[in-house]
Amino acid sequence: MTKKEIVKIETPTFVDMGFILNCLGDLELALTKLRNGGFENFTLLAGKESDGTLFKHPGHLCEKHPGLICSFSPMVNNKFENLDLLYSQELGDTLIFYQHSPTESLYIHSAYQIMLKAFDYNALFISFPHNLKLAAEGILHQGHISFKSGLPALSYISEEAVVARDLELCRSIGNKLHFHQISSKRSVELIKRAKQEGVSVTCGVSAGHLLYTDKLVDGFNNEYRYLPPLREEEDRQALIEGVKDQTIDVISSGFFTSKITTGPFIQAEFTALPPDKIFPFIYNNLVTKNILTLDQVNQLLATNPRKILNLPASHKKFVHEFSEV
Amino acid sequence: MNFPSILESISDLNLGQVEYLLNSAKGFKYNPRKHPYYEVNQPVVATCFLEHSTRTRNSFVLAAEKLGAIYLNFDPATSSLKKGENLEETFLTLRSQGVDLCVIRTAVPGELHPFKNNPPFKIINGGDGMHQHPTQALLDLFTMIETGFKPKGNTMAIIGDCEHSRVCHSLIDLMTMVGCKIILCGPSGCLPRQTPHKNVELTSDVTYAINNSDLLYLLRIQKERHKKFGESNYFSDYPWSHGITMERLKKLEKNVPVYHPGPANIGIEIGACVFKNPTNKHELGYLGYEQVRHSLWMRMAIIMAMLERRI
Repeated sequence: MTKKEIVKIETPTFVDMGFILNCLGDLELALTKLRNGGFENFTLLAGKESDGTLFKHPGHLCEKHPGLICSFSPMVNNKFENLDLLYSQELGDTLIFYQHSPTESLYIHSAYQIMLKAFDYNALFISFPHNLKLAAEGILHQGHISFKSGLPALSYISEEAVVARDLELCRSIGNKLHFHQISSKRSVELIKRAKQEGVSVTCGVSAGHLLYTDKLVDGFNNEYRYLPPLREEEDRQALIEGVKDQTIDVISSGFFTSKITTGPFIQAEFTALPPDKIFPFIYNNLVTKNILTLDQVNQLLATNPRKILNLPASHKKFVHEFSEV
Repeated sequence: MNFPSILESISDLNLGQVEYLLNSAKGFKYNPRKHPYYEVNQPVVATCFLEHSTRTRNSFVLAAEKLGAIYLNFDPATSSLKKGENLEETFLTLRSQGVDLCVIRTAVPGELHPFKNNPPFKIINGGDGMHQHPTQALLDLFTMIETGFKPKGNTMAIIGDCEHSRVCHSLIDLMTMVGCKIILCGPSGCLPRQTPHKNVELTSDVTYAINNSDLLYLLRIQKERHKKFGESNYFSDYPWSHGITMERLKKLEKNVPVYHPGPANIGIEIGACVFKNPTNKHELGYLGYEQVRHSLWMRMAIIMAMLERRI
C-alpha cells in the first residue's frame, strides 16, 4: 500500500449558510468541526433545546471559539411570532426569514405573507424546499433502493413543488429568495430558468449531494440518511452542472449529528458530511478529478455566501491539511 | 450446501439453495414420518412477533413442533422489551437460554440487518415492515409448482399495493430468479416509480395485466402506509378499478388461478365469488388455502436446513 501524501491548501475562510443542529448536546463538537473545516461564519438555521423545543436564543454559542461567528435565525412561522427575535438577531445587513420545514410545512398563503414581509425589510427569505404532506413521512429517495429496502419513499414532488411555488411567489413579490439545499435535476432546471428570467433567487447544495447517490443507502447505511435525500446519478450530475454554470451558488452543511447509530435506518438521525470533511472530500473527489476548479469551490464556500448574506469581505485565510485520496 | 445464518431476504439465497428448499419441502409433503425428526438433542426454536400475525406465526409453531423442536413463544408484549430493553440485549438473553433459531417479525424495515455481521443465533425474517417476507415467497413458489404452474417463461401478475408490500418485494426477487416474468399492477401510488428488474413490467391497467398473465397474485391496499392520502377515500373505488371478480375474469375468458397471502379483504381486492371458489389445481379458482397448507412443509424445510447449518 502506498503512503498517502498530505495535501496543504490555503483558501479564504468559509461561510456556512445553513447549519442545523439535531440537538444541543452536539454543539461543542459541531463548533470544533466548523473551525477545523475553515469556517469563519455560520448561520445556525435550527437546533433543539434539551427539552426538544427549537432554539429561541443563541446565547453565547461561540464564546469558547474565538474567530467563529455564529449568526442565528429563529424560525418565523405563519403567525409571525418571532419577528421581534428576528429583528434583534440581525445578520450583517440582511435579516433572514427562515422556513424551518423538517417539522413544519409552510402553506402557500403563509409563504406569500412572509415573503411580503421579507420584501418590506429587504430581507432574505430562506426556503427549505420540502413539503411535509407530499413527503408523507418518506425518508429515502423514491427509486430502486427505496422499493427494494421497503423504506418509506420521498418523491421528487415534495421538493420540486415548493421550489416552483416559491419561485412564482418571488417573481410576483420581488423579494430575495434563497433555497437552503436542492437535490433534484428538475429543481436545478427550475432555478436556472428563473435566474435567466431575472428572479432574485440563489440556492445551495450539500457537499454530500455532489458526491453521493442513494445507492449508498442500500444495506440500510445510517451514515447517508440525508434530508433532502440522496438521489440518483442523473440528479448528482445535474447538481454538478448547476454548480459549474452558477445556477447553484453555495455549498452548505445541513444536519449535524454526532450520533450515527447502528440501529434501524428508519430511526436514525438525519446527518450530512461534517463541516471539517467538506473541503477535503470536495477537493479529493471533484477538484483533483478536474470536475470543479479550486476557484469554483472557493466561490461556493466563501465568496457567494458572503455576497448573499451581505457580509463584509474577509481577508483571513485558512490552511487545510488532509491526506490525498 | 452452505447457507447464511440469517434469512433476511431472498437475496440471501441462490438458485441452488432455493431448489434445495423446494425439494426438501416436497419430501415433507409426500413422505411424512411417523416420528419427529428430532428425538434427542432437541433444538430450541423461538418466535418473536413484534407485529400481529395469524398464518405466519402458527405455521412456524406447527413446523417446529412437527420437527420435534422445543418451541418457545417469546411474547414481546409481556417481555422486558416493554421495560426498555433493546432487541440486541433480548436476543443475547434468549441465546443464553439456549435458543438455536428465532423467527422474528418486526414493523421496522431492515431491523434485522445489523445482526448479519454477528448473529446471536439463526434468524428467520418473518416479515420486516415493508422490506421482505422471504418465507412467504418461498411457500408461494412451492404452492405454485405443486399445483401445476411452471414459473420459467410464464408470467404472473401481482395486483394491488405493490410498493408497500413486503411479500411483493420478496416475490419479485424469487420469481425472477426462477425465470418467471412479472407484471406489477395497481393504482397510482401503489407502484414503484421505475421497474425493479428487467423482467418486471409496470401497469395500472388491470385488463392488460390479466390478459397477459398465467397467474394472479392479489395484495391488499395497505391504507395505513399511504400517509399522503391520510384518512381520505382515495382508494374507495378500488373494487371497481382493480378488484378481481369472477365477472371480470369470465368476461376476459381467463382461466387463471388467484393467489393471496392473506388476510384478504373480500369485496375489495377479491370478489366473494372468487374467494368462495377454492381449488387445488392451476385453474380458475382461489388458492389461498393451498398457500396456507403448503406453508407448513416449506417452513419445516427452512427451519431444518437452518438448524443443520445448511442455511
